[in-house]
Amino acid sequence: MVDTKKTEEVQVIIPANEIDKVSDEKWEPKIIAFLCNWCSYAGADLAGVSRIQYPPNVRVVRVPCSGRINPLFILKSLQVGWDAVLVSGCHPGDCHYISGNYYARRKFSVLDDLLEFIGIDKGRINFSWVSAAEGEAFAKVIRKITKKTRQLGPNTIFKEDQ
Amino acid sequence: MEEIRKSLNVIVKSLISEKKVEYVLGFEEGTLPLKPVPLYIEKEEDIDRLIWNEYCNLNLVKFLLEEPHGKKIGIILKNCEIRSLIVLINEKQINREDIVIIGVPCSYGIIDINKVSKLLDGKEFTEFKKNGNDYTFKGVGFKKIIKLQDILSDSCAYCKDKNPVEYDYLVETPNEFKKIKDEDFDEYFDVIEFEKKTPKERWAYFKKELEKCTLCMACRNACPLCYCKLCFIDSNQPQWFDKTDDLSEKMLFHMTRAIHLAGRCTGCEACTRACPEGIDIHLLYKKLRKMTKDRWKVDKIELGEPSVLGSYKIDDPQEFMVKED
Repeated sequence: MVDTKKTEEVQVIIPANEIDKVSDEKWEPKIIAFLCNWCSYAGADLAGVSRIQYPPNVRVVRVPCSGRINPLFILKSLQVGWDAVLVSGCHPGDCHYISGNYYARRKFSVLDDLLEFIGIDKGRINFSWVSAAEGEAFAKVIRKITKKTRQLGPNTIFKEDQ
Repeated sequence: MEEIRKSLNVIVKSLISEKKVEYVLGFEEGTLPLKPVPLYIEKEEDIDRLIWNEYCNLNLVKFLLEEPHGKKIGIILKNCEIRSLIVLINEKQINREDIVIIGVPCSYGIIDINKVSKLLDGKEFTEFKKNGNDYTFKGVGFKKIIKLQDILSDSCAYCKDKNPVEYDYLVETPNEFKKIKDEDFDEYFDVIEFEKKTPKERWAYFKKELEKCTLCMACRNACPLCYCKLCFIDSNQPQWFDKTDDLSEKMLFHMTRAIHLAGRCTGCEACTRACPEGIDIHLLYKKLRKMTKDRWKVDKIELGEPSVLGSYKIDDPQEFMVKED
């Protein structure tokens, strides 16, 4: 039987201004994950097929390549209230499009440094390399990020009381 | 400055009379003090209106973007502006052969008009006089003397890169320009100082500055590197931007603009001077320049070099990636 209460809870995206009202006990981190079609998405799939347990806080967006990720996607996700963002692609050298992840790596380091520079905690945005054979590695990354996000608390990025 | 203007006159006159260019872009005195406007010199009699001084605060490269390819244009530029022209040439927006660059070495930099109005408490001045390093501002019922270093643009104060790197004509430099060379200070001193602050203090600074933003897009319009036909902020499909005055929207715009300028911004600070609210976030762009230097050893933008975000090396640093354990 489908637990309707649970699915409802999952689908509600809390508007940014209501985040403060969520009590600590109820609050669950919500993490958006941009996974590259060829490696990380397949890795996540493998984790599922292998029945590896990992926290259910992550929502996956499939993208053709980590090079497809515009830093704007990440900033916008944080602005609308996702608690953390994960971008994951193929290991360097393994990109399906030969060099997409190398370009992505440069973009990510710019974004990472810039957010730290304006005073936003490290750990809200995460980047990782996960290949299609690394189901366990994917689960580990998700566990780690969920734990870290729990410590950071609800997302107040770009808000007055940052 | 008068010597520079004289040698500029000679160069521009020869360009116009020999019909080497269709027009030369420079500055003329505007209707308000400290607000020069661009001057298109098409005929020899226009040359007398040409000025060159420390308050020519626009980046003229912006005006080249509108012109069709193949049209020969002369332009008078300082080094930071030449570097932004180089970015546009590298990005195939402008042909190098179309442009005749008249390079002028920069002495101490450009006056930031926002700093002037801050020091005058927002009062309007109608007259100003220059006497060495002292600038006297006069308005209705007040008179104030301000030192040049207090009103200089921030990036000019720490600029070491003052001699044109790419030019067709170079203006002779008076002696006063040469003694400025100083190897003692760090170009990124203010960024390094700012990085020492706690994250809370840094956030407080950017919040305080960006809360003033009215999203008028003056910074975007002044920047020669913001040349997208459709800016992400104006896009309706998808709509990235909710067009409210919420702080998060302002942050989103300024952060994204900063990322778009990563490895391209040359620090001319036309955006900071164009801001009607006097927002000072030049540190954000300066941080980007420091970052590209530290991370990828790309210091200054050179002609023919690939862009920073449009190229890569196999062994780029990746210490920020999440490790599995």
